Amino acid sequence: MSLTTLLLLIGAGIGLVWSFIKDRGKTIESIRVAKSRFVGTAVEIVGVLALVGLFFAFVPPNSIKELLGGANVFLSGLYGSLIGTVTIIPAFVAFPLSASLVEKGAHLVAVAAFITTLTMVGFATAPIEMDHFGKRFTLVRNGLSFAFALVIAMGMMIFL
Amino acid sequence: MIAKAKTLAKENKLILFALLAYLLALIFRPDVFFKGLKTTGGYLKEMIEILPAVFVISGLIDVWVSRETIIRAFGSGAGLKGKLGAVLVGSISAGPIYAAFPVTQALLRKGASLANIVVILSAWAVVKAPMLVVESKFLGFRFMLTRYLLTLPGIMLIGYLTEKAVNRSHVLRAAQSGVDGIRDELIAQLPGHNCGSCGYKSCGQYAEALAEGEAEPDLCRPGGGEVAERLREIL
Repeated sequence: MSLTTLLLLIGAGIGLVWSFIKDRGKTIESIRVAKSRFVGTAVEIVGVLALVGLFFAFVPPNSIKELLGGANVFLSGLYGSLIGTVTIIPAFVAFPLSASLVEKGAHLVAVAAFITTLTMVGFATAPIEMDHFGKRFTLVRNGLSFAFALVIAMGMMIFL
Repeated sequence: MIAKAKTLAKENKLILFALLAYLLALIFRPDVFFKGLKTTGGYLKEMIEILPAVFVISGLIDVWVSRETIIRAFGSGAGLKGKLGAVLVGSISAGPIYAAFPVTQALLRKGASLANIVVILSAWAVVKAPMLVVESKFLGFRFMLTRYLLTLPGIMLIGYLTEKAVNRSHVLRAAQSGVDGIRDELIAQLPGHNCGSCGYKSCGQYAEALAEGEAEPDLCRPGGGEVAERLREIL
């Protein structure tokens, strides 16, 4: 369990205890709200995660490496951001993976694009996002994030 | 009966699709099936560690934090301070981006601006203090610093542009679809004293009756006319 996860759990625990001391009724209310939201979302999240897991079992990591080290830096950056978009992996796995990609010859620009879309753009999580915020918001936010990931990656090319 | 099965299938189409995909994998590529199952197991472990806490926090925000506080901190009038606060909230939170949806949705219902919602979502995903260390360890300090300095103004711009392109009330409606959503929204407006003056045992039960259309929105005595007006707006 990572440190941030632990902090989150502690935060929720302290919040609950504080709430319970101040007002029992409100606390029970908040747990009811939490429960109904959790039930509504959990099934969908499990479905998404299962599909992503299957996708990664199907596509070997080696083919990802080949795409990111091409002669055309811009194209590698584009591939990087596309791969980051469809991928869900924890960021602390993504950094060692990125480092090994760079060793194997991937461009830093492609890696920056990959990391940025990996974290900000969610193709696989889009159905969950739509559930919470609607279609238009989801499309606009993800579209803009994708475009900015490319801009950030190109910026890296200038500064590095 | 058939209609019920239909809606059930529609609501769970993602998981049904996943089951079908795994079934096909099991028949044609058992190796992929087992590898996929193992990867998914790892994801699920992460999810189970994080999600209960996330939902508890979003529930607590709903019940305890007043609408006025959120509007002051993250409403459209909060300006740059609101943006920086949004970055802070996002960056101290843990978990993948889907864990951010319930919490940000609760903030949105309470009056946070769309731009700040987007900033929190993005910062939640990108700006993480422990991740900074990991990133600079593997890819170099310069790489990490450059990427962050480019990303921070980027996410604020993304927030600003999203707010311009998307109508907030549409997003709110999507956030409240379904009786459950409406009930949660109604609960958020009630004072939460559970005084019983409306004839129901708790604010939650009153909200439930309201959402089902069984009660009038002007029964809450502590809330008075102001709350009745807000309830009417939602209904």
